[in-house]
Amino acid sequence: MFTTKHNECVGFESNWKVKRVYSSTESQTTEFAVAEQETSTAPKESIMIQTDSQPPPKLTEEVDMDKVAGFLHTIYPNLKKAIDDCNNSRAFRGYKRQSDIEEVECKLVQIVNAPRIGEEGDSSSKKVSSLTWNQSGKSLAFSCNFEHKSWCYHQGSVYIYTLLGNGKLPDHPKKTLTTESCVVSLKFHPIRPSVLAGSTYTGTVVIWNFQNDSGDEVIATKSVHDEVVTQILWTNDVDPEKTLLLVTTSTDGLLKLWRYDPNARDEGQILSLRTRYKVKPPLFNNMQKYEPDNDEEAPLHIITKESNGVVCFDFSNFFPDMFLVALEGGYVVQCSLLGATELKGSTKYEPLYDPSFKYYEPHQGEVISIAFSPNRKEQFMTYGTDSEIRIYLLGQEDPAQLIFLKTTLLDVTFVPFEDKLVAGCGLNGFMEIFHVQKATRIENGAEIPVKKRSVSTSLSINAARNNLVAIGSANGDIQLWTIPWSSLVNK
Amino acid sequence: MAQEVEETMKRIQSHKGIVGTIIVNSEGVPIKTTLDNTTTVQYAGLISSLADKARSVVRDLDPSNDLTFLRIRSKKHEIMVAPDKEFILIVVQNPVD
Repeated sequence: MFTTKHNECVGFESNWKVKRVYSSTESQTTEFAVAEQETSTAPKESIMIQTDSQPPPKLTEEVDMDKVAGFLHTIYPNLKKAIDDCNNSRAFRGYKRQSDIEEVECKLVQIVNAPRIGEEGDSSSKKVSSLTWNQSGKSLAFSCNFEHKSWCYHQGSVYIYTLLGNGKLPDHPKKTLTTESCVVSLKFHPIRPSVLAGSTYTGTVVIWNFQNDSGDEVIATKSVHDEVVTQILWTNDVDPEKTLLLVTTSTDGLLKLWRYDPNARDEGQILSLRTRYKVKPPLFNNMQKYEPDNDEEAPLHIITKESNGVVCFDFSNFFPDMFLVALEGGYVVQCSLLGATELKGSTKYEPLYDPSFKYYEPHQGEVISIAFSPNRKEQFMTYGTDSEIRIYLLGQEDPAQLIFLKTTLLDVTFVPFEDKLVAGCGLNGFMEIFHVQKATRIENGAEIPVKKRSVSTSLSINAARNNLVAIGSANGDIQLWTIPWSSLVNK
Repeated sequence: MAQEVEETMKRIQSHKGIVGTIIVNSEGVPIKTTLDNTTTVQYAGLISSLADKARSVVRDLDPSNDLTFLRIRSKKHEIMVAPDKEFILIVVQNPVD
């Protein structure tokens, strides 16, 4: 198994240091180029800003007070006149720049339903008889009444609503006032926004203060006429003190002026009679209108009736003694407080005068509305059941403009600050606007939104916000509209 | 005299709708005011330069004419400016309607 064998020795060359050989090879990739470009995204500019508030200049400038006093002394009368002019000026009332007028269409803001009258049960016959805004334009008062064939046995209701901050009326009235009979006419006091006067079918006038602290709202109640009080109005007397008067008219043919003294000790003296006026119809016109056949006698009512009832009236804002009266039979009479003649039956305590001054061409039907223009002192308007709106000038017996209507209106009024517009409402159930100069009806868009339309009985334009109009209807609800009068003029 | 000035200022201020009254000298520096400092300085500077401009317009149109009164009606106010040789009276009023 084991053998001996001799092998030669083999030597290995030492491999300790190996010389390495490197060869460098270059690889050419795609060309890479960088171009540097300067871009300025936000130009910077150095501005110096005054951050600390500057101390206000001292007002203790060295001044010669004598000179200042002299300057003020000289300038004060002119300045006072300018301030008074500014306060009394109507030049800018209702003025709006064309660019400010955004609303160009009539908008129905709200419909308010008058509360039901409990005792009557049937609210369907209840209609809005009178509607008025107070002088501040915040409160709206309206009365509801029923149809009457003879005497009124209903209890009258007056509802007072106050505008909310959003320009709408609340759902329920702020106050409900009642009267012994239906209310025909309402008018707010011209200065005190919470004092309201109302007249009734039974010839009574009631004055309320619905913010009376004592709780009793009635200030005064007075029986002023024998028949229905057709209209009431506050006006100033022609005396230097400009005593406030309440004017009442009735179908008994009398127009009465009542002095209003809220400070009177006796409640009965709050309204005291100043003068009675009986406006007689023109005899000539009466004869002209009645044309009997040969031997036929004139009807008894023409022979016996001495005076016609006063249907409506208006006092001029420009001439304190002038007023217009519309009598039954369509007569339109210009009257004067100062030029009145005393009539038989006049006493010291109950003076009776005839104030007739000038007669205008009568309407063929009854007059429904009569009103002086709030803008033009020589202009007035009448509307009658003959469906004619007549624009008269004081010095001219015949109307200067006639607007013939296809429908019947129940209330017509001038639009304040828009001397070319007349607005009315009636059987159509929406507000109708007419252009006085063009004698045309203006399409206003108010016809569309109301679905359940009923006859509109009365209309009142807000005294402070002229574009706000309240319309009362025959079913006892109130519609509140915004009307862009200025844009309608140019339509 | 200072008392007389104060009284006249009060009388002006007592008118209906008056918001403030400022008397400015010919350099546009307010010397009497019923308004606060910031408003006074603003009104004094702007209105006096406007009054100067208005006066130069009137005079350029007719060299024999002069500005006596300037009323500026804005939506909120009516500014009445009564310029004189040495002083300008500025009255700011709230229009009634």
